[in-house]
Amino acid sequence: MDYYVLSQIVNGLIFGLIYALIALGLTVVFSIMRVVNFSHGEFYMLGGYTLYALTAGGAALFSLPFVVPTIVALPLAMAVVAMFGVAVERGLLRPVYTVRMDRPEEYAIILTFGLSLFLQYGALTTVGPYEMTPGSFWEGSKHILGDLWLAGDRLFAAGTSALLIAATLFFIYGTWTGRALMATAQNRVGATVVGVDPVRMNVIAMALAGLLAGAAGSLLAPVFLVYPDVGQIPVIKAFVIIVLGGMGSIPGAVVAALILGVVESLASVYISVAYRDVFAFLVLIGVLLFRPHGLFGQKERRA
Amino acid sequence: MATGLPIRSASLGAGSPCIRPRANHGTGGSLTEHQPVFEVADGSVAFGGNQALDSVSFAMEKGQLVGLIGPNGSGKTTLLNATSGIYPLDSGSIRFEGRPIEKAPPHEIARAGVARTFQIARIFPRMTALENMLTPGFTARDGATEDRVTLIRRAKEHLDFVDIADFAHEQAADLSGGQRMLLQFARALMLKPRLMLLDEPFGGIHPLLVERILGRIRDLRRQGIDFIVVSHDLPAIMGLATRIVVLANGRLIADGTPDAVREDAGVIEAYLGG
Repeated sequence: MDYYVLSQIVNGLIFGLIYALIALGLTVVFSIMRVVNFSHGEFYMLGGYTLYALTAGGAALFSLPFVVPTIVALPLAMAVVAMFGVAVERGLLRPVYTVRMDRPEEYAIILTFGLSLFLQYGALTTVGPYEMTPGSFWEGSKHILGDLWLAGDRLFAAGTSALLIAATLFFIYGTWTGRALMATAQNRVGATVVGVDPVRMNVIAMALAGLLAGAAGSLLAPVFLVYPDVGQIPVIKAFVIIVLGGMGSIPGAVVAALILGVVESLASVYISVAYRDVFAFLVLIGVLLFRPHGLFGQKERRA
Repeated sequence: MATGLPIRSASLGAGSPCIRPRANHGTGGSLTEHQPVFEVADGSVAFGGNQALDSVSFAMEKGQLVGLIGPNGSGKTTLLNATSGIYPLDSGSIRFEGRPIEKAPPHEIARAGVARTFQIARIFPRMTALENMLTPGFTARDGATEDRVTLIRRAKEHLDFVDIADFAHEQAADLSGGQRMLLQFARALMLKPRLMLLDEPFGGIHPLLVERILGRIRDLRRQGIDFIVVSHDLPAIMGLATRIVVLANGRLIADGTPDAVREDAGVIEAYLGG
């Protein structure tokens, strides 16, 4: 095979893995809380900015005498965004859910939309519209085979994403807490009457979403840099992915993310790179027309 | 067979704001003769302008099986929802084994020993029957009461107890309505409840399964579990209950033995004249 095409496929899979990180958090929050979190892209942005602040930014802006190694900054950035997710649940979403009202999800969705705008414009006014370059995870290009070379940062992002996806799947399918999360997603009242605390599940879902979005934002920061609306396009793709995979399906999100990554890459080669971000929407329209419940989704069938 | 008299103590610790542990709780034997196992006092719930539950009071002693009956919309399910914490009371109090539970959230009430089933079985459709059974294990872990092996063994025993052990590895979504009902019933037993609230356990299921559920309820009563059963199936509930409480328009209109209630003019009026 042509090394150019091969490199595009590999790049597509790399992006697919990152997309999966973003989509997993979104789909977990949707499953547990029935909230489409429109501020998820800003969780991603916060991950990038946190990585920047810890690595290059601190030294550049505040003349700090040290920089945190990028590899150490990554888990810190993830933790920061996870804590932010918990704070959003505690401060913005929980008040909505603890008042007895019809369809709290709808209020919560509007709240996340407002939060998204607030964070984007907040970033614009505090740090400005500039693209910022955090430290690199793995500098330079790496030789894979033949004429196939890949940027070290992309390889690092792919490997770390794969590990995080595996860890997330283990958490959800292999632990008691994961089982309680699944139960809550499948029947919230049914879960509470067997002793699962739904508020605690909300917190865990938002923390997990923050952790994964923070990781994705940090991992791609050295590749695509950081700016206030950096999360916009990735989160829209994550929406496409969870529709393609089937709303609420965890394996669906992973598979759909990989499919979308490869489709984008190949379509960029064979059609036009200028339309790279458009292909996701063509996929979305196609799914909605021909398979509206997605690849792994259940047709509405609730017990 | 299911495990014997349910004894559960570890999870009622200090983490629970509303359900306070007592000095010697958990075995039923610690209750004095006169202390009710369950008591609702002046319980009221309104939905908008509709008074779904209107100052309902009754107390239930250990060893009773209360049949809760009444016409549609009389407040039976509302009373179960208030007891299990799903829709809390607007006013009034509910006590379980002497402890107030009217402000506790559903998961704490469940952990305290009050299990609940629903008219439409609230199972987890995309898990197997066995996985459904293990979900309460999450909470058992909080109390550090059981390890995984014990939980799985107990889950299988309970599935066997309601005769659906053959379906342990079926997806719950593929079970029939009656099997889902039995699964929900068996899953509630995983909590080691001392009081079970059953909402229409005989609704829309095969007569043979009704017999099976009736038999299992009698078995569990002998193990010391108390029941409040909401049902429209008057022959079944009259044959099962030691006591019948009748609600109509949110009010308690009769309370007595099945025979006494059968003769009660107000009840006949509520059912036929309402």
